[in-house]
Amino acid sequence: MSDLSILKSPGITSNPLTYTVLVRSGPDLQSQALSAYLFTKELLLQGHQVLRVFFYQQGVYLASNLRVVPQDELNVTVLWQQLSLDHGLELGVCIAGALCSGIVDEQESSRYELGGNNLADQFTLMGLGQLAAASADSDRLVSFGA
Amino acid sequence: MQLETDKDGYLRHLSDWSPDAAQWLATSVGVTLEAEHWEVINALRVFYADTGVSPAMRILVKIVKQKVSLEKGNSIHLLTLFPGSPAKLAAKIAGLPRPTNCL
Amino acid sequence: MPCLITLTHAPYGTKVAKESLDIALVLAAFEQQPAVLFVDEGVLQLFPTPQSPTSHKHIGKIINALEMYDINEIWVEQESLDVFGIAVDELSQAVTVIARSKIAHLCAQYDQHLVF
Repeated sequence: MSDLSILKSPGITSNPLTYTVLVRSGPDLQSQALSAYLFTKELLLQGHQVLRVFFYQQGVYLASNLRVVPQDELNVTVLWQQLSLDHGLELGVCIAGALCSGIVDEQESSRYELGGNNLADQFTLMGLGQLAAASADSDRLVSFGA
Repeated sequence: MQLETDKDGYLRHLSDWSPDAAQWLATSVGVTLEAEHWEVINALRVFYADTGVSPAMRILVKIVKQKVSLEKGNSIHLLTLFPGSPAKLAAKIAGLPRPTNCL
Repeated sequence: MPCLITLTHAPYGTKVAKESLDIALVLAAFEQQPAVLFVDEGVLQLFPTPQSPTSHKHIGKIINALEMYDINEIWVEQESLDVFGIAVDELSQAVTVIARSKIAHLCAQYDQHLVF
């Protein structure tokens, strides 16, 4: 994928583009989740705009605030949270997939009377339409995950 | 009639649906069902049975346009029948799951 | 922008096939004009749905929504049909069959390409 070549050419770009990033893998395929993070971080450092990162399918599991990661492994959830704080990056999580997988925020927990919520800070539940909306306003949609 | 619904008034068990249940659900949201409501409800139930999709407003309008009539396939007509949020209200009364809002 | 979505999963057991089609439908709902290409086990999504022996929803039937969402550019790889011994007239949707050798050319015509 030619977009990945940006990882080899650091520095501020002279041709800023607008991106939407789709993350379809989570703890199940850490390498893809990490690649998505590194790619997005590099996009931002090079001055490209990232409209939204959208977590879908297995990717929704990255949005849980209950993850326990061994000390010798990277916690990709924390990495995304920091990136979001540093750059005002929007981290959207597919609400249908999240609910089905047991990732809920306070509002949904209350709606379904679940008794608890676990959506990690910086992540926001939203409909799949938000992926399409962001993609419609982007020059590129890049997808990570198997 | 007493039906189990969730906090937003959708049927907890879709298998509980029947035309009488539809009446009950409609009453609970202040809608009086007439022939034109049933046209939409029936078209919606057929679409859901065929595809498993509980459609958002845009597609509901298309469904009504194609399966009921061209003239009735518009948001004004649907808003008249199901005030506020036609996709959500029609889905509730028709015994469908909550529309996902995007599809 | 025109997007090609390649679908490679069968609609059995997992939700991946359905979730992938959801992306096609939502892009269509947002006027993104997606085209879909079924390859490998993805062609099984086009096989008419048998009656489910249980009351559970057959997640594969979302394929029937393609028409209502105006997704009418539906491609199917010939070689994948051959692997499963499926004749094109057995499929539940109107499709265009394409040889594997022509798929690269098809992809080149789209700005965006997602593979599920």
